[in-house]
Amino acid sequence: MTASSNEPRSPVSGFGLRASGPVRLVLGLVALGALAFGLAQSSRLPGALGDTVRGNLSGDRDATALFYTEVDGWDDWLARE
Amino acid sequence: MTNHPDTSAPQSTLLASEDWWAIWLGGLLITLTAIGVITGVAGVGRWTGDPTAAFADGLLPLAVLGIGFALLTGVAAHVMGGSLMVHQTGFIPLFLMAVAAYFVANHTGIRAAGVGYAFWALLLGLLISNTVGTPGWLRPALRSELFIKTGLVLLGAEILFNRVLSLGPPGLFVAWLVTPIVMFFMYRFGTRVLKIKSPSLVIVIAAATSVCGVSAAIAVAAAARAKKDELTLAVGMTLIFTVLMMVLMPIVIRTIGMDPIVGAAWIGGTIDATGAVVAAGAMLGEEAGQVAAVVKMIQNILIGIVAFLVAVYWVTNVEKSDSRTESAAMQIWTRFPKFILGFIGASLVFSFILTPMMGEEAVTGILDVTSDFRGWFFCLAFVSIGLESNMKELMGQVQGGRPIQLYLVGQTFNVVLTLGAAYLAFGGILFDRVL
Repeated sequence: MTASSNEPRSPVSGFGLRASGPVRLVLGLVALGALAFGLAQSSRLPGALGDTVRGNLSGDRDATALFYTEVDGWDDWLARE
Repeated sequence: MTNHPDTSAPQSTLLASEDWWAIWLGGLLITLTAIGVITGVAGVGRWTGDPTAAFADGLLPLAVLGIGFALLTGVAAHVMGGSLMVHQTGFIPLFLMAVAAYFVANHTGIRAAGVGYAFWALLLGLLISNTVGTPGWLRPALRSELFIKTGLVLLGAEILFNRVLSLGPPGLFVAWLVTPIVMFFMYRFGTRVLKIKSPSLVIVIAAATSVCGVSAAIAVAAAARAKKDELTLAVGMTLIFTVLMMVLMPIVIRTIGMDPIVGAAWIGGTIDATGAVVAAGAMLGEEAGQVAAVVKMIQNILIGIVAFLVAVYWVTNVEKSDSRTESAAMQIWTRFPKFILGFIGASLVFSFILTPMMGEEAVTGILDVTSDFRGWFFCLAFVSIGLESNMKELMGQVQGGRPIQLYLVGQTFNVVLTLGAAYLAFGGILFDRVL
C-alpha cells in the first residue's frame, strides 16, 4: 500500500467552531468513550439488535472474529463435518 | 510503496524491503512456535463489569510482548535504514494504543455487538492524527506496511487447503462459485460503470464484499498496493454493513419461512465477517450455525488464491511497466509483492507438510499461537494507518458516494446470487441434503 500525505490540521472543527487540537482530542475521546459505552449496553436494547447481542452473549460467541481460526471450536466443525 | 525511504539502503534486496522482512519476521515467529520455543502470546482478556479483569494475567506478559515486538520490528527498521532507538521511542506508545483498542473491543457486550479491534484501532489513530496531529517522534514507528504484511504471512499458515477439500461439494459450490463471479462483476462495475478512478480501491471493496470482509480487504490491499485511505474506507464500510446484515438476515430468513440450512448457507456466503456469520447462523439453530460457519470457512480459504491472483493481475496488467531494459519476466518479478510468497508458502507448508507430519491437533495448537501474533500485527497496522490518515483525504476517496454505491450494488448482487446457489446446493437439488 502507498501512504497518503499528512497536511497540517485546520483548527476549525466540523461544526465550524474554533477549538485547539488538545480540546478536540479530549472531545473526540469523550465521543469515543460514549460510543463504546453505548455498544457495551447494546444487550439492553429492545428489538432485533438487542436480541442478536443477547444471543451472542448467552452463547459466548465472538461476533468480531476476522478469520475462522479465531472462532472458538473451529476445529470441531471439521471433525463433525 | 514503502513509507520510510531508506537513507543507507543495504546491499541485499532480501534485507532492504518490508516485503522480505515480513517473510523473515513471520517465518521466524512461525518457526519458533512450531518448535515449541513460543507456547503462548500475551493478550487482553475479556471483561464485563470490572475493567481490571482484562489484565487478570498481569501486565508483565504484555510488557514482554511489547518489548519483543519493538525489538523485532526495530531490527527490521534498522536494517532497512532507520534508527533502532528512534523506532523504539515511537513504538511504545503505538503498542499502548493497540492495547487500548483490544481493551475496548474485548468488552463482552462490544464483542457481542460485532465491533472488533480493527474499528477501535483505526478510530483511535484517526482521532489523534486529525486533532493534535501525529507527533514527529512517533512516525518512524508507523510501519503499517511491515505490520500488515507480517500479519498476512502469519495468516497464510491459517489457510489450510487440505482440510477445506474434505468439507464437501455443497459448501465449495456456494463459496467458490459465487465469490469469483461477484468479485469480477464488482471490478467491472466499479471501473467501467461507476468509473471510479482508482482500480485498487475497487478491487479492495470487491474483495471485502465477496470474500471475507476485513481480512480479505487487508490481503488484497497489500497485493494491489492500495492506498491506506482506500483500505480504511473499505474496512469502514464492511464493518458497518456486517453488523446490519448480522442482525437483519436471520430475521428475513425466519420471516419468510426459509429452510434454516439453506438460510445458513446464504448467510455464510454473504455476510462479510466470519464472526458475524457464526453469530447470525446461530440465530437459526445449532446445525444451521455450523453450516453457515463451514461455508464461511471455505470462503476464508479463498483469500490466499484471490490475493495471489490479484498480485499477478496487478503487476501484469494494471501497473504494467513500459521499461524496455528488463525482460517481461524480470519486470513481473521486480514489481511482484514478495510477501505473497511467504503468505502462500506458509499456507502450503501447513497444509501439505506440517499437518501430515505433526497431525491436525498439533497444527491447531500452533495456529492458536500464530493467530494471536497475527491479531497484534493487524491491530498495530490499523492504529498506524489511522495515525497516518487525514480525514480530508479520506473524504476525497468517497468520490460522490461511488464507493458506497459499488458496495451496495455488489452486495445486492452477492445476496441474490448466493441465495440461488444456496438453494441449489443445500436445498436438495444438486446434492443430497447435508443435514
